[in-house]
Amino acid sequence: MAINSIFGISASGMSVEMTRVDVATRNIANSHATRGVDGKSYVPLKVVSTAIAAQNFQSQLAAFANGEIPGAAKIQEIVELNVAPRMVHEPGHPDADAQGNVAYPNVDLLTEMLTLTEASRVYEANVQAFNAAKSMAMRTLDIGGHK
Amino acid sequence: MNIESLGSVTDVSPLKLETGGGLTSLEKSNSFVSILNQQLTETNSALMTSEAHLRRIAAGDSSNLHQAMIAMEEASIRLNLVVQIRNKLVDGYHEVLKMQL
Repeated sequence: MAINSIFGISASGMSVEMTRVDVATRNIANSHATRGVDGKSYVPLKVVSTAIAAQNFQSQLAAFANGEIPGAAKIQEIVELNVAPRMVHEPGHPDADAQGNVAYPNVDLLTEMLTLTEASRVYEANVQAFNAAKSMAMRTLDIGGHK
Repeated sequence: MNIESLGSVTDVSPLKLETGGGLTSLEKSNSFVSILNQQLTETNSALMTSEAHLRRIAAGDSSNLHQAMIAMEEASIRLNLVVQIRNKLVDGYHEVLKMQL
């Protein structure tokens, strides 16, 4: 049923956008974390997503073999951004180094806010695409209806 | 007046009703009935999936709300399809009932 694969593709898009919101929220929440897990300080994260191949029969077959839907989006990985920490001079801080500088995660709030807005818009777009497919399916079932 | 023998009339071989190839043999292969049955099974499993999603949400796990919504919509479309097929069947049946004999 082709309509099901459209639903699956919409669902995968929603999953990716949810993850982007998740990661952006994590970045914002930890923007002042001077201590991270296992001694390292928090590093801003970024979602890398890829499309599942759907160009030819072979790639589609491979996608099905992996239990994926050809043409859908998937999260490749969540990477740590390669940015230097933001150094702030705070001599009294318990995590300050010898020079009195504290390393804060270099979270760009502007970028994170933009990611949040964009992700929620794209999520809405995915919902719209889903609704369009659904209403088309429902209209199809109206073919030959009496009233 | 010469009345001809009715022999030529009685020669007519009686109509033979074909007994083979009825519904019973149809049912075995890829008949409409088996397709409908398969469709019903799929619809049932779609409904079960959406129920499982609902259970998970009720238990407090709302991690994939959209999956649940999509599963419910899919189940509703499938159910609608089965209901439409049923309507068409009933329509056909009524049509046959109305037939003048």
